[in-house]
Amino acid sequence: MNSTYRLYILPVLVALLLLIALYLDLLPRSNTVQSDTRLAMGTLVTISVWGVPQVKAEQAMQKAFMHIARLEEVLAWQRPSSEVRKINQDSRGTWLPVSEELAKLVELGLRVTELSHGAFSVGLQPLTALWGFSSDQPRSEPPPPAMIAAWLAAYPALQAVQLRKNHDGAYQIKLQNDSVGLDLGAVGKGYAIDQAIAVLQQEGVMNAIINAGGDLRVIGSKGAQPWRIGLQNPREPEHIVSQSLLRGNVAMMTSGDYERYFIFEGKRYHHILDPVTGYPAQSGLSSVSVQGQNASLINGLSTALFVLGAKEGMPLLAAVPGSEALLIDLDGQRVQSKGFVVDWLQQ
Amino acid sequence: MVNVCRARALLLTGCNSEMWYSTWYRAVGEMLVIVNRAMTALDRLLVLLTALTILLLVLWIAWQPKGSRAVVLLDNQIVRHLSLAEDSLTELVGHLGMVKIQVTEGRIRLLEYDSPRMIGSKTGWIQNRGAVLACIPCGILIRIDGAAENKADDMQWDGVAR
Repeated sequence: MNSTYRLYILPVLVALLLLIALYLDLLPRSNTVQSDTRLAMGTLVTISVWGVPQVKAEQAMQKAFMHIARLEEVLAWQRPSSEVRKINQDSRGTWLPVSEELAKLVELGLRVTELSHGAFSVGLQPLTALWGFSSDQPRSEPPPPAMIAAWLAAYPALQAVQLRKNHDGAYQIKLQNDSVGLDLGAVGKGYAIDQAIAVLQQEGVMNAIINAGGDLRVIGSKGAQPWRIGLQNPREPEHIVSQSLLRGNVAMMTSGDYERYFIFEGKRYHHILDPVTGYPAQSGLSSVSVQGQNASLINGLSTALFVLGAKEGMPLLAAVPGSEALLIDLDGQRVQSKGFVVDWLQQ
Repeated sequence: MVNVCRARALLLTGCNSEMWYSTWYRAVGEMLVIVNRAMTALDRLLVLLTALTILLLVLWIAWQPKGSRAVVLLDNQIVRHLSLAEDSLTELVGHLGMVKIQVTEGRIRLLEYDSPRMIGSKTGWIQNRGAVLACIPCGILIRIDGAAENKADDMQWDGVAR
């Protein structure tokens, strides 16, 4: 009799300890959102996952961050050892070998260039450098008009960047002249997000969100609930104007004139450059958000839409099935495609 | 009668509330007596140690405020741990030169540095567990210790598009 009860004592005490530990939030749980934030791609990148134990979540997030860091080393023209930098430093007008990974991203960028009839380009690095928006010490006034005119005269528009695949399957790239240099900033962030999501999925994470400075992609949900995404007011950064309840596999990329800009003589100069003018796009828009499944593609699409404006941009949107957009103009007026997931908040 | 009523109590049927209460009261009492008789000195020691562990655990958790420490990262590598329990002023060399980090009354902020947009400074104080503060050009990220865990049903934004 006594030994029977003794058998129960230890399990009861252990169960009691576990209950207390659970109550005190000491045990790893899977029904919470677990997040980590790092500096990457010139911005804050936050990965949040749901539905996996803490240790597994941390491992998966760590691997995803490492993958983003690796991609940054390949894609960022600012990085001294990046493949893009090496191509930019090489000779112009000749075919140069390029890795398959970089080639596929350039190919995607060229697709957006073609669809947008040159309103978007992955060959604007010299112009980007001229404007200095990516610099640690950005300009406070526009570059001299003569410099922009000189760039514009030399820039070969649709022929700026060319890509080919040889019979042996190897890719080659050609930058037409010195006015051209690779800058994959407008598709690279989306690509890094897509790749990091793939890493999470390989690690068994099926519910997650990766947010890279306001460009994001979600997979799955938070249990029964969708991911809840706010959209920043283009002119009042502390205010959220809408919510998008996203679940499944949805990316949401935003281009706006309020992230990197300066005001000179009362005029706003922002970082989204129009390859046709050499100046920041003046399409009458302050913000463009695009939703779709492929973050890389809609990353470029949001930039192209911003440059084109509402009237010319909507046909481009229609040419990319599965993409939806919300455009906000300088007066705060909104144009959105039918399938854009959004609920407007009372202001 | 006691056994019958105990069975009924288990099924939450029959017996009036007074009887139900007294039955369970007696059952628990009986159980404790039996357990006490069944325990050896070693068992009692085990119970005492477990109770002490629980007590210490509770006291430790109660004493340890959430978000009591900040982690300072430079290029995503941890370079400092700062206690938020003590006021302090820390200097750190980032990519753009010296950065000052101030801790006061359990909060932390980037106080003074040279950066084009001063976004880290404009962010102001942070104090909640998981909150982050960064000067991107400086390569400095400050995070209040502890995972930023949000309950699945809370009303915070999971992400802000911008």
